[in-house]
Amino acid sequence: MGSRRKVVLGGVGLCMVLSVGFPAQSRGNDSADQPTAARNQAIDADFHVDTFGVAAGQPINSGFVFVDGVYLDAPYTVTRRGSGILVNDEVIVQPLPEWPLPTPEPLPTENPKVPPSLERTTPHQHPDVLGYIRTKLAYIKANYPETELSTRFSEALESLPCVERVKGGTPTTVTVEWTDGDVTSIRIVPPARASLPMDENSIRGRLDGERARLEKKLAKGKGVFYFSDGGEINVSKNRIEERLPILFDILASDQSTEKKFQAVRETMGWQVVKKDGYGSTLVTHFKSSPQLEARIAELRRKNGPPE
Amino acid sequence: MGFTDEERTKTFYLEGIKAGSTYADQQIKVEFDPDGDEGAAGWDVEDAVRITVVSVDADIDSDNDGTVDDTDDPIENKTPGCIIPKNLEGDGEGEDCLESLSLSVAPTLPESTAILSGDSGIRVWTTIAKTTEVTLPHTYDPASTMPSTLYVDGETAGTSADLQITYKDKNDLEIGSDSLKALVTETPSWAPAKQNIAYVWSSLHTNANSNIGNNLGWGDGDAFEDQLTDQDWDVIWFNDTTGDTDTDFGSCTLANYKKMKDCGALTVICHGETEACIAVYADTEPAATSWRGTESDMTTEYWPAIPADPYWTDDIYVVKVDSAWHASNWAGTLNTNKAIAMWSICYSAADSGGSSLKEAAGGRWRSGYRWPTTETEAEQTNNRFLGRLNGSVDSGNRRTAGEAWEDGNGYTYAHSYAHVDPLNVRMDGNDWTTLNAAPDKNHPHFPDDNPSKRYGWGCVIFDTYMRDATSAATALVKKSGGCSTYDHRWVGNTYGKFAIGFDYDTTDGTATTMQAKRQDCTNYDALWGRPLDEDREAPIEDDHEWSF
Repeated sequence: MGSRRKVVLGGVGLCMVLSVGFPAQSRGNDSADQPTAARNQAIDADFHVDTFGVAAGQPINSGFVFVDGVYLDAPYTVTRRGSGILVNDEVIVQPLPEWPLPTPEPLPTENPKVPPSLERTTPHQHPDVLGYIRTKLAYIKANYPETELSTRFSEALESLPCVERVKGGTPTTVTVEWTDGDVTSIRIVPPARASLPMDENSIRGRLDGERARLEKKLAKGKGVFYFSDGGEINVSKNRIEERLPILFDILASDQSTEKKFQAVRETMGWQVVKKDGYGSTLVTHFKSSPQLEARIAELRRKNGPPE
Repeated sequence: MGFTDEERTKTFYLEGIKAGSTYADQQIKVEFDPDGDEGAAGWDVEDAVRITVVSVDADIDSDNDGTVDDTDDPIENKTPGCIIPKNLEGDGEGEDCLESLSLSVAPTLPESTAILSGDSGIRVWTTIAKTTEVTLPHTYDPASTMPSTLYVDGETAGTSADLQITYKDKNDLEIGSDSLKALVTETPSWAPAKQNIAYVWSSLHTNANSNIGNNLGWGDGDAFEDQLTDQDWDVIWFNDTTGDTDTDFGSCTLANYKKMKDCGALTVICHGETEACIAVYADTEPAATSWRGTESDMTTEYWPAIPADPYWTDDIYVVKVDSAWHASNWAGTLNTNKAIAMWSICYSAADSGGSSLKEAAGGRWRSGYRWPTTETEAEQTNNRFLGRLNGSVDSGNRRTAGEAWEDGNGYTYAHSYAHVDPLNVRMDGNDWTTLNAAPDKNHPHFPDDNPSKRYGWGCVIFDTYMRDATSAATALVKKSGGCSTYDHRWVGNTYGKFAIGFDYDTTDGTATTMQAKRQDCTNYDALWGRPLDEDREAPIEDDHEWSF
């Protein structure tokens, strides 16, 4: 299927669709000149709205949401838009990259032969090598009992000119040493954990469950910090109400970036948050809003003077 | 002496103030001079009785200050008395907690006996090493055979027990007794350290993997997060949201995988196999190999697409991280942190110990799956187990790992090998592990009723070892009322503190409210702990208060 592109909305209204990008940097600077109808049509297509529809929850006035350091103003509306989920205009769960899902390569009808192009010096990552492995393994699986899988596949590998030897394996893998000196373990049976059903209704149901979970989290007053690298920090209502004013003071201060990171680690205990590392945008892209400042002031009144 | 013609008999009352050294060593003698000093008769009439002042004394550390001394005696008959946890729990399991019991009778009368009696729920031993049990009631005949020190062991948590020594003479008449109270509490637990940090590793965190066989879901992580944040943990996710066929690992980097050990609780969601975790997924071999760098016990594995199989349509390369790597890189720290490690991956638990991930990676409490698992099964397991630990399931009555696990009762969920083995999830570790501290299940605080007008000793008792770096006077305060409270102090044992005690004076009779402040009553941690769950049921909302 190839590499993923990340869909990023944001800014004011559903007005942008970005390809692979970094939300905090990209937000607000793309596609602005597209006519609105066309933009929305493109967004709907990206989210497969025609297939999956849209389900929007009620606005929630509790909780705190930050995306890459940018505070999102409440109320929070969690929407399943097609196959993606958004909090207000921010994509929290990426839509499926394509729908319908691609059809698999057909099963080989004939026993695959070693491609004549292969030589002793052929790199083991050559497409012809990988193609042979793929089709040969599938052919063996389809035509022989499982007990013969490892042996027959090992024999097939040994027939390749670029294979030095088959080193052995486990019930799930065969390990091969190539003539280029590299060693690769090849999985011959799929992993065991059951995957989720991918029919339309199952996908829709699962996403609606995720949407409900997000709503529940916010309704409980919890705080959530999303990061575009996939990181996510979740904080209880007590903790966010007690610590957010302190965190705000750090992030909004004039101290150096390095000191801010250090203060975040010490104050919140988030040792993992690092410059150029996990959660870095919390510090480097922090952006407040009048609403956040008002909510912080309210928390300060509630909490009383800091100890 | 006040005799008159009408009142020929006078009654006086004796108080023994010092035990005699021998039998009948004190005398009271009355002499009578019938005609007074000026008459002819002298002090010619007399009578005398012999008296033995008897002392019967049983003492224990009733004010729980670590010593048996004069301050214990005045309150020894009032609850709670000496607090004796059922067991102590260090890093090992099941160490008994015994309290020293001092006994004496004096003088030793000929043919006298001493009887030690007590309620069930406690046991008495001759030595702290529990050499010989003294089965109660026990008669020491003669009384001189009674040892001066015995040791009391808590047997049944929740018992408020009386212990009594009765001294009898040769005619089996009681000539003295003393009694005291002891409270057997549940074994104090340890909650994980590392402040409030919990990690989730979710390297297939998308519905959009190219191989839909890799769409595992992350609802089990959601359950983990929900239950822990309800108990004031911060739950930090490391996710790869961009699928299995790119070279972007998101926050699932090797550096972050190494940091996973620096937590109090973790869960890992990805594929697994016997003795290995499939940590990350990429579309090229160099990307996977670059991820693992030069780490030992990590290998790159090629997963070819399977023609005609809609679940496995694309070639991918994965990094397999063996149990041995986790044993070398995680186990030491997770053990030190007293962490809870929940492996939501297939084959992560073995029946016979050994080197499955659950066993190898360490932690004070560990869970894993003997067979392949699913998002649904792992989510149900996490909700039941962690919901019990945070008190939201079963009303706060199963807040320890041992109680929550209940030997697997109720954890039988649908899974692909159910026909072979109905129970898939395996858990073990130290039963006395909690998420946070909470007041003791049976006797959270004393006085627990109106103590009347007196001096006394009160306390709040926790189910978990506490961070005693916070001043006891800060953690437990008098919120209102006229009763004086003083000398607030942490109470515990060699391992740690599990109560805050205080002296009180209720002689003015005003109802008083005490407040154990949730933010200052935290589980033990070097830097800071998580707050007290005042009602034993998540979420944490208030301070723990009571009045007397």
